[in-house]
Amino acid sequence: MLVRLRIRRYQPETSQEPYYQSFEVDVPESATVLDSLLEVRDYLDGTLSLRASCRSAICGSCGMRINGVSRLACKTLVVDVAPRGGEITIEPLANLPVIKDLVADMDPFWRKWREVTPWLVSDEDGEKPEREHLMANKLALYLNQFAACIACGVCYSACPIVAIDDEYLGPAALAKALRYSYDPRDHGKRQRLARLAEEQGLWRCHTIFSCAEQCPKRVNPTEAIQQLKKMVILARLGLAR
Amino acid sequence: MAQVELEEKVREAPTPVAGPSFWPWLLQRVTGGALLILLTLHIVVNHIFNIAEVEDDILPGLVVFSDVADRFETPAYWIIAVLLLSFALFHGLNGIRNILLDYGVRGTGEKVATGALLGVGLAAFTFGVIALAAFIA
Amino acid sequence: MYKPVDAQFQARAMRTGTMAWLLQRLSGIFLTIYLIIHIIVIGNSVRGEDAFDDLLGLFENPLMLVLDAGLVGVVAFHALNGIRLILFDLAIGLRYQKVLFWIAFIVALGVFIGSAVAVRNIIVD
Repeated sequence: MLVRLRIRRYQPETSQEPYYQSFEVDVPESATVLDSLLEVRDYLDGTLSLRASCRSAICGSCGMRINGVSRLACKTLVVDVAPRGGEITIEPLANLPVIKDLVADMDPFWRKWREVTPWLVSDEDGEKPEREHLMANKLALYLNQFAACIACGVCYSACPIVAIDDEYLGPAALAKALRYSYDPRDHGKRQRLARLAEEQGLWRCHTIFSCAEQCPKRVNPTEAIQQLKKMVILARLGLAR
Repeated sequence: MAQVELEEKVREAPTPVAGPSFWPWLLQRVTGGALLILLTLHIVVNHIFNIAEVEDDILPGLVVFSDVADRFETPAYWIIAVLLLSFALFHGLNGIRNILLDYGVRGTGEKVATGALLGVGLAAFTFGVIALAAFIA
Repeated sequence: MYKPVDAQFQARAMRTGTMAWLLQRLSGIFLTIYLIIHIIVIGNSVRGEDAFDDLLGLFENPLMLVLDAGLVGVVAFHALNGIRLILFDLAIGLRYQKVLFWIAFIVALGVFIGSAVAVRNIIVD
């Protein structure tokens, strides 16, 4: 099927301003948007820059905005966004600086990720455990969804609060924070929650749900954030039994 | 399920952490919930139960001075009025403050904005109480 | 480098959650401004009974009454959506966020229509 890709280009070596450029490609019915983009890069314009790797929604590289919606290019079928051929608008992820064409600078994303102490903090002063740490199966399954995050940046791009406030930690970092805060092996909750309870942490989320709806791995950052808010409030009110 | 682990985990944090946004956040919800009741009472009492005597050129539900003055003879009504005034002002102005925070107003800007909103709130509250008192003067 | 801002507010990317947030925010700003005006209007009580009654008499006309009904509708929406938000803060009903929004919206619409009917009955008499 014939499909026209209207791509937001940005080539800083030749021009200061971004611009749209359209390419027409003929792709199979089963093609993904990533397939179409690679078709453009391989046969029509070798200067088109984009990130892609696994083609199977696990590496998190190909996050971009397709017809205004943040999603993974490899997971988006052309027929879903352009049922009878036609035009697809492709732009880089929002809320992040753009390095070139469809390549976003993920540095702010990673910086916020690091700020939530995204690892298990060990119990330095405690006794050495005599056996492995046990975790209830239900809890492990619950944490699984937050561990499934592939750091693709789609949720970050979808969030309107991130759009209006650069400093907001964002859904991905906060979801990761829950993954560790809920883990019984973790002893770093206090320092982590202290960071989250700051002004541009949890409180900026207004349960808009764009992140949860767009996540390609069905992580639910809104749920994570609401659970974290509850944790902070209960602790502060002394209601945690 | 996760509730059990939640409580264990929270117990581990000896000193609560909450940041400067804790009370405004919580009070926004508390005042909001209270306003549900207070506002409903306010609208119903003023415009629905108000149909005492319908005079020739006064529409039922229209607020007249004497009716309001009568209501203020009950102390309970005073309490509700003051609660309503303070909660509504807090909820609304704190809401505005939240919008500013969302747009990244921080540091000095935030202090100035909070101060200004606080000023407006106190002024409006004072004026409101004076206005209410005028009904029984 | 340039930084694109999200197209959340473009029609094709607008979703229930985003719309709920926008409407709550807009209704909140509107109601806060209304509150200040309301305090000032009622503050006319300091000018005495007759001045007060005269002023409020100005709000007797059909247009103002319809606007009043609209106001009640806006309050109802903000309140009901507010309940929805409080539920979310208790981690209740996150799965049903869209349904809860539409319930809030439709009930608020019902409140507006009810008020408008009541107002119409008053005007017609």
